[in-house]
Amino acid sequence: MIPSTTNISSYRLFVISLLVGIGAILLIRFCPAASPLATILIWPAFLSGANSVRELARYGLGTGTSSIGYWGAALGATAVYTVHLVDPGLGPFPGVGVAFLGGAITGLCAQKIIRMGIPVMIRESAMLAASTALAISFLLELFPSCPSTISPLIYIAVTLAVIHPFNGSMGAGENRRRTIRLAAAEASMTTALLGSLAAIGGAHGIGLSVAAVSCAGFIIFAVLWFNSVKDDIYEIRWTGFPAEE
Amino acid sequence: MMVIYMDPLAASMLVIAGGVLVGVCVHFIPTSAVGAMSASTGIATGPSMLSFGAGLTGILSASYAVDEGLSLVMASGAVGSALMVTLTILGSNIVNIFGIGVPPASGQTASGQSVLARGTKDIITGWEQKGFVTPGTDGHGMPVQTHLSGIAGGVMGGAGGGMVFYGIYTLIHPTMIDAISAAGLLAAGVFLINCVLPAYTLVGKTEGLFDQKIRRIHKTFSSCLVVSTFFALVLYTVVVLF
Repeated sequence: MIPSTTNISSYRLFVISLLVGIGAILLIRFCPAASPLATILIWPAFLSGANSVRELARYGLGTGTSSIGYWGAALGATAVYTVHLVDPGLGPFPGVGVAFLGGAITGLCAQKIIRMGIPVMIRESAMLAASTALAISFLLELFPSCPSTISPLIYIAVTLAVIHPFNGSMGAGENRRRTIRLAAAEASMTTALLGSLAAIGGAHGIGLSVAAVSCAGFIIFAVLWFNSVKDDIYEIRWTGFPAEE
Repeated sequence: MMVIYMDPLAASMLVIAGGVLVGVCVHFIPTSAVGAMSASTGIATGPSMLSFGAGLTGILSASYAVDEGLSLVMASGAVGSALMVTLTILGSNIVNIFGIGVPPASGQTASGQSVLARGTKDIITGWEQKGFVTPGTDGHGMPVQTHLSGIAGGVMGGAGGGMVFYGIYTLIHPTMIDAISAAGLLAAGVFLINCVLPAYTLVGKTEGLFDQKIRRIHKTFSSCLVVSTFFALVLYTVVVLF
């Protein structure tokens, strides 16, 4: 029996990811020995971002799913990088705050001026921008000496980790449980990639511990996701055929 | 090498103006998701992604001219971006004509709904469109008028991207060593935010300047103005007050 992950509301998921995400960033900055725990704590930010993309894109955006993800990640990335211009040591609060505000304003424009007709537009775009800002802030902490060199890769990696879960699961049988599990697998894959790069780049201890925990997480989440896929396929196996055949 | 200094407020205004221009350019670049099946006039992708591609090319080419002043940055960005759009349209037309076997034809013009044209002829060449649209489709490929609209969009997007890039560079270069890469990254972010908003005004499909959806350009203008002003304000605050 696979436990359900569909009951948690979008808002609650964001609040949890915000609290534990800020904790993860502070942990990796001030207590590098706790980087394995910090890695686990940042994954909900990816889940919240992927969930927001799903909440927005399921209103029938089609090819706009990727645009929504790029847009949200651009809001988060622009806010975080702008704050980094002042002082990288300012902490996650200003970047995440600016991203949340920017997301809300952009969502307001989309809802009130363009009239997109998506009731959750303002809330979800704000949460998407803040979630990606959290993930980007965390990953930037792995590369304190060369943030501008690695920033484009971090931006693209986070964007793909939040847009692909819904885009990859899209279709008649899409459901939240499978999408969130794929998001968890992609979140751990992203932190594994960036952790490995940090280890190669000189931060051996932190980078290797982040990569090791992420690889373990990836195996667990990939198995969970595969089980969801298998269950959902069994549910629709007779589509188009009489049951007795 | 010429180093340009600009008032931070003027640089912020440049970011706002560039952001709005970036948003408006999306209306001019012909795109359509169903263009992949030659079922509609336009390049086979979403409007925001193609505009972003053109914008990135523009920012990249603009960065080569960053020490030469604003006018050359804008010109360089405009040329790079327009070249990218032109080559994409050329490639799409080659696939449509020689791969699928359909001629470039404007669906809106063929149905008499083109904004500027009277009748069913291409406004530039005067070539008839009506008999060349496959029944059940909304045109295919990019005829001359649509191609020229795409080039105009590329010029606007590249120039706008160059303005955003130059504005941000001017704001941050006194305090940063690698200001060009940081400015490019932030300009790409502002570009992406501004070019996704119009895509929702266009509902994923436009034939460019001649499409009926060009009448919705005021919505794009207003929303991009608000969003660009917010980010320019954040940049100004960060750079000047801190």
